[in-house]
Amino acid sequence: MDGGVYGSGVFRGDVVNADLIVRKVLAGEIDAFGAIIREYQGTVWAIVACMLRDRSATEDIVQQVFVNAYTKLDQYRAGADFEKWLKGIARNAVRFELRRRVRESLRLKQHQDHLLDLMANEARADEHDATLREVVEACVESLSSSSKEALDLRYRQQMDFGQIAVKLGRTVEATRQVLFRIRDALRECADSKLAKT
Amino acid sequence: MNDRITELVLKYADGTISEAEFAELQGILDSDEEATRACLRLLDIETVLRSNPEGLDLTEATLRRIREDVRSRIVDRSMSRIAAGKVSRPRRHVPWAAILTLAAGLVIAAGVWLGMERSATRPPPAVRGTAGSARIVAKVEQVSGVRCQVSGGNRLEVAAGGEIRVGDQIETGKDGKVKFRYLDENTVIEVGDSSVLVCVATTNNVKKLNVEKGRLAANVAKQPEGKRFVVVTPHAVAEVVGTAFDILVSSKSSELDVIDGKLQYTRLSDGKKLLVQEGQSTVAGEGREFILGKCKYYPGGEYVDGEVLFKDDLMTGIDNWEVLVSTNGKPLRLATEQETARIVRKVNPDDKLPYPREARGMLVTAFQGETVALRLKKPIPVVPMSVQFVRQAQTGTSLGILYGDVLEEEVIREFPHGQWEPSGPHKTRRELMPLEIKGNAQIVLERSFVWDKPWSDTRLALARRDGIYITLTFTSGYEGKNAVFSDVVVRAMKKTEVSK
Repeated sequence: MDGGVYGSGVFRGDVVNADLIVRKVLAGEIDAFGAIIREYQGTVWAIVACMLRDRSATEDIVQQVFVNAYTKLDQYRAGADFEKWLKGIARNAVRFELRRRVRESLRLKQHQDHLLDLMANEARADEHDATLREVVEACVESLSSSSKEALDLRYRQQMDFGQIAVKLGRTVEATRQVLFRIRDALRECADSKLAKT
Repeated sequence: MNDRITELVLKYADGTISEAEFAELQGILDSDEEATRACLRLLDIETVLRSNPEGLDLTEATLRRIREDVRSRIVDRSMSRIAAGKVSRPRRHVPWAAILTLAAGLVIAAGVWLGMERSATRPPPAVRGTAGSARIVAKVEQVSGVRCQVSGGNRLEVAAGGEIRVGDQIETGKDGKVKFRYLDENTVIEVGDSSVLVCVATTNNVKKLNVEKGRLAANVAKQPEGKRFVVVTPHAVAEVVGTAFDILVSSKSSELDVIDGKLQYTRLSDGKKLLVQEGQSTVAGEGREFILGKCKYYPGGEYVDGEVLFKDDLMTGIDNWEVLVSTNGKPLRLATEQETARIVRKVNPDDKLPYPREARGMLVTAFQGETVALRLKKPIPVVPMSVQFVRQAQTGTSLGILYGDVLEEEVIREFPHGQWEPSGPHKTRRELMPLEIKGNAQIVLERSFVWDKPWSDTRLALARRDGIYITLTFTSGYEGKNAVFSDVVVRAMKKTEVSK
């Protein structure tokens, strides 16, 4: 899989470059902000993904994060960790969305609380994300190639069960079951690895 | 974790869970901590799996959204300023001035205010009913945008020519405005956007308005002896003698600008009173010092020896200007409001109008066979004095830093977004500057906003030295596609009373 299921979304922001871009944006070049978006959209997406919304809803929140960042750009201090600064804005946006949707039907209260609790502490959220990412990546590596393919179709290529079924030459229900088993296996693997840490 | 729970959690993650299944899952989680932990682990894994979709590129779409956001902010801000200017004096011909200084967004906004097509904004459905027997106290003169009136228990759409009774409540939406005039006196009230106002009482001796939130601008006729006109907010009471003012009410504070005359402003939390006079402002609210400051809308023009020295901040101090119009070579005459509206409509936002940096006497601009001019209504007092900036100053907020020393003939350049950098000395405006340059001062940037249109903007800063406020005018330039630079010129300094 190109870049792995998880890897390429993680960016370590180049502080110097980010500062240069920020300076250009502050000097009036809105288009220069495009470089910021390109560089960090994966990072922001990874944070917003916890909302478990569909792609277009996630895109909407990610875009709003960058709008918020643009609006607050004059608060960014040159030399600071731009990625960290942006992540803070992203987590604020997620918190805002979670609270806004608190009365939405079919939203698990425990999940909302879990996310709000995580987002309340930047350092803990970063640590949680990094650990989980590492563990899940290792667990995915241990899967069979057909399981990896199914995951890639579902999550990277974002196909629905019907499309995956066609691709894998299975029925939709069988495809559901395959992905059900893969994810349950990932959970067991992650539980096991996390229990050792 | 049994298969059933896993199945339900994954259906939840996939968005395919039914209401019955959701209730089942929620019930399990409410009573089973271990199942909850496993469920959250599955959902965390789901988050990681979703974090790297193929072909993710939101760059262009996000940039479009940012540009739209910037435009909206400019329009909102500009509308507020227009609204403030519109009501502070009775003979108002404001919109034309906006053409010269504001971006395309503003022109659109002004058009909206003036009743142009508003496909995106529809008033709420009108519910007609009898308004009850309460006394009619005012008549609606002008309306726009989303607005409604709760009268006699009925919810109505406010219409021009309609009546306002004691007890009526006026509500406006994001772009809504309602202007009404009292029947028995020449008092005009304008309810700004996103506002709630209640006409509480009108007796022989007291007229009372409650502003629950939003903006109210008023031009109150001089009240006869023994009569009172009172505006109440959640934070303060403004007792009006006869004045023009603007009040902005939020959940935390009530900001007052007095444009003409004076009024007594009482903070409700402790009963402290302030006499707020023309050109002054104050704020009553949580954590805000209750002191006098400078009115945001104080005139910004300059009048010297019978001539007007006019620079580009047409919005600031617009109340001091009248719009004159001449068609087909006829002598200039005062424009009617309809004409100013027409002039606004004529402007194509994409036109690159010549930008008038300054003028003496009248500022004259031609529009398609018409000559339009601004004329100062009355002299503006100017107290000449001088200042030298010898230290860099940091703004009080997050608007950036003003670098370097500003000397007598120096002009600094301003970048959008509050970023400031010095440029070399220029002498283009030296003749307009004061000759004596002494003393030190700190600059406090008063306001700033993003500007991405090929138009110009003016910014004001206040420098305070020895209890004297000095107004600086930053005259912006027009360079190519974006108005990027602004020259800063020291001029038109006013002495203002300072309360501490």
